[in-house]
Amino acid sequence: MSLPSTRPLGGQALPPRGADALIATCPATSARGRPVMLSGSFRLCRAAAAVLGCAPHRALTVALVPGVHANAVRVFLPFVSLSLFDDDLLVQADDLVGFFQVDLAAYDKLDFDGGYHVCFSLGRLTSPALPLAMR
Amino acid sequence: MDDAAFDAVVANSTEEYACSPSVPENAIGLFLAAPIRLVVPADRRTTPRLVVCLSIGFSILQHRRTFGAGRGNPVNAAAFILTVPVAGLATGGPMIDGKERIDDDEPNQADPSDQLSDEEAAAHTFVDHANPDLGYLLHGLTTPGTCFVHAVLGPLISNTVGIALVRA
Repeated sequence: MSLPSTRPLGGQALPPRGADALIATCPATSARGRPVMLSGSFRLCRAAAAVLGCAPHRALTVALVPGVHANAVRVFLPFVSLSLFDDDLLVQADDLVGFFQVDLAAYDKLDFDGGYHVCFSLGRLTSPALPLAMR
Repeated sequence: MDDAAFDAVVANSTEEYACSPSVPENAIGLFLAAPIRLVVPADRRTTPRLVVCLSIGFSILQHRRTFGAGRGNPVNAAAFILTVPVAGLATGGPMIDGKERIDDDEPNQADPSDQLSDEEAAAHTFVDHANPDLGYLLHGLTTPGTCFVHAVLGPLISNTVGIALVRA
């Protein structure tokens, strides 16, 4: 699978119906020089998607915060320049559902020793800040 | 809150204003407020003024867990993340206040709060305020659309606010 990807991993669950949601996962530890796979999914109603002004995947934002060093925060839009297609989204009633897989190591050397927090956002949605320690 | 309330906020200050979000009693977390509309300059040379108000609910225990033995300042450690999806822009940074900053990694041996137990430290809560002018992160942007802003401080993440960017 080439990354970033909009394909679901095997067994990856859909976000529950009923509300907009962004669900993301990140490994707690990883090794430098190895891929750091971030994966997740989102559910957006059409009105929320329209506010983005672009395909939802293009608006998916990953922020990488090293320790408490706000001046060293790195922010990425993994899908901003990727070709996207209609079938990258599932349509469920009035909702758009999408999946994503991203290799964080493709965007940063991850050479900070003190540990990171990885945060995902999509429009008004955010995920919890996920800790990441590099070995 | 009316957008005019944000005009009264001194950029990059650390005081509480009428538009600063209230923090529930003893709550730990980040609470963000921003104007709902921002006029972006027609030329790329002018930096817009985008002052947002962050209230930081913190405890001594949370401070200890976030900064270890250091004497870090939550205001300095808060990172602000901005995205303007329609423009393909995502950026982030701290509050730029022009003041000399304390080295967040430097231990403060004389801090009496270090003597508190975790239980005592959890009971001591406080609220800090940061009112950064994030216009520097939007410098050169003339595209109308929606700008989304949130703040991150270690494991804490704020609510996200949407700001309509309109042309001058």
